[in-house]
Amino acid sequence: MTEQPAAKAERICRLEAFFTEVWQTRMQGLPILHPALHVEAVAFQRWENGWLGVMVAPWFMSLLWLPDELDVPLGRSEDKVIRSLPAGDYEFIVSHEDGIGPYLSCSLCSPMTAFPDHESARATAVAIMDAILQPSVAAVTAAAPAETSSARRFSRRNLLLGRFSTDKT
Amino acid sequence: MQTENTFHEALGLSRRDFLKFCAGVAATLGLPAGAAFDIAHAVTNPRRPPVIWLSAQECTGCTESLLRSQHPALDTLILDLISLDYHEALSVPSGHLAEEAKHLSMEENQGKYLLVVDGSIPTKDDGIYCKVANKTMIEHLQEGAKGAAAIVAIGSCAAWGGIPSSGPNPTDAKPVSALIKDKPIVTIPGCPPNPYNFLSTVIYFVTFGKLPELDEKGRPKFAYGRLIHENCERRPHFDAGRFASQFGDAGHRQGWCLYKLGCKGPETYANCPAILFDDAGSGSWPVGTGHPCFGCTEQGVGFTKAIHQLAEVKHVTPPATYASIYEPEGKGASPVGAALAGGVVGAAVGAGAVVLNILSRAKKQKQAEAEAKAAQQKTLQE
Repeated sequence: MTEQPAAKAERICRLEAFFTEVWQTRMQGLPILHPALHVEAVAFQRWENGWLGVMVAPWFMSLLWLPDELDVPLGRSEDKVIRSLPAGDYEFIVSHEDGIGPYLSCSLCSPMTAFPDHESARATAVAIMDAILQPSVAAVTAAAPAETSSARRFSRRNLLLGRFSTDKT
Repeated sequence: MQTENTFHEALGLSRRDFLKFCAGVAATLGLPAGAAFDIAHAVTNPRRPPVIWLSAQECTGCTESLLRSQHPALDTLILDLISLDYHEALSVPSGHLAEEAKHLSMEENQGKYLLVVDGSIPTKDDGIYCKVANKTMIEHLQEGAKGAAAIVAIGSCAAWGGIPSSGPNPTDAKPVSALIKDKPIVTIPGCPPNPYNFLSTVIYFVTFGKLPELDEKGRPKFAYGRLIHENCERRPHFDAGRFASQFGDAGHRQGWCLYKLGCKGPETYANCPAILFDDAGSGSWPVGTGHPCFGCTEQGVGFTKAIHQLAEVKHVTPPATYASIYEPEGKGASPVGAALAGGVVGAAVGAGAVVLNILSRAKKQKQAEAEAKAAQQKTLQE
């Protein structure tokens, strides 16, 4: 699941080039830039007719999904959409960039002060991709204050479908 | 079930919608979905927790934001959920009668009531700059805290001093935590604070008899665990370096990132963009209306820094401040856990508020239809 093509796809290279340009132009001189980091598209892989991966930059780390179909708008810019990944439901924001096309973006980190160097940011991005594609992480292993039997009997799906009795779960 | 029916009927909700709301609150609080039933049960318990609400140096904005919500009304929920025995702006009795009601409730509910405080406490000259019923706020606070099960310091003034403590601070205004040391205090900062965060905290208290997990500033982690910047709908603009540089310029009109206008989102912890304010629809928070976040929840930012000042990037973003309930098992406070949690939080944090918004809109459009449906639901369930 985590295997990566040896060379980055042309689309991902363009994405990287775009953010590198943003870094060297529009972002220059802003205090929010982490001096030790650079732009890198990490662990991009095929996912649901598109590309899913983590964009690491000196000012942010976001999970991006780029659809193969460039002509189909994903929604209005700034709209929030929920996408189900193996690890759970994640909230993405619709965006569009000329030359990149429409894409979905899920904020992971910004500012990037938690990372001492680029390697640690990169390693985190890889770990995030691994974790996000594993179903086990999804389980919100909440230390619920009241672990009642009802907490185990009912699933949210059933609850939202209006199934309240145990025999239907 | 009688009480539960009465309760959700009073809110104008069907039982199903009521449970959806409870599931949303459970998600907000980071609890498993099953907790919705515990919440529904606790919320409909006829024994409502008594609340004494003290107003110190404040503008009543906290109360206003709590009451300025619409159907199915956070205010109804809050006011039906608790027994508001004393509140200077909302009490039915006035003068000596109001004070009497307060003392009666404090005696009867010794050790059980929730003390809510909005406004900061003036301490200069023995606190004479804010007096109610001929007693200083210091006295009222100490008296009220003595028998309280817990204290909720609502609004930035009560949480960390807010406006009165900023600038020259002529009354030496202090937050609740500066005066009360021996009681659990939860702070819900904001100017105004989001009523949904207050409601969720109270629901947690009502359901589990204790306060939710707090950070080092006493804030519930479910609401203040992430930066504004991390949940902001304008984040892709920031990522792509699209900024408004002046109010009214092309970037501002196109809804681009407000960082260069002094948005304090990158240094302010709060869930505003995720849950929005009341049920006014999308965009009902400062950045959504085109104004930079000015950091009202954050001490040292709101009322302290100039609006145009660039957000300071502190090298302290300890992932440990994230709510541990979202962290994958064994990952602890790693950046991975924090980032992953963040994404999920984005979807879950406002679930209850979203449910309320949807219900509210649906209700306004099809009031009659909704009533018919509720009646039908009721028949089906009986």
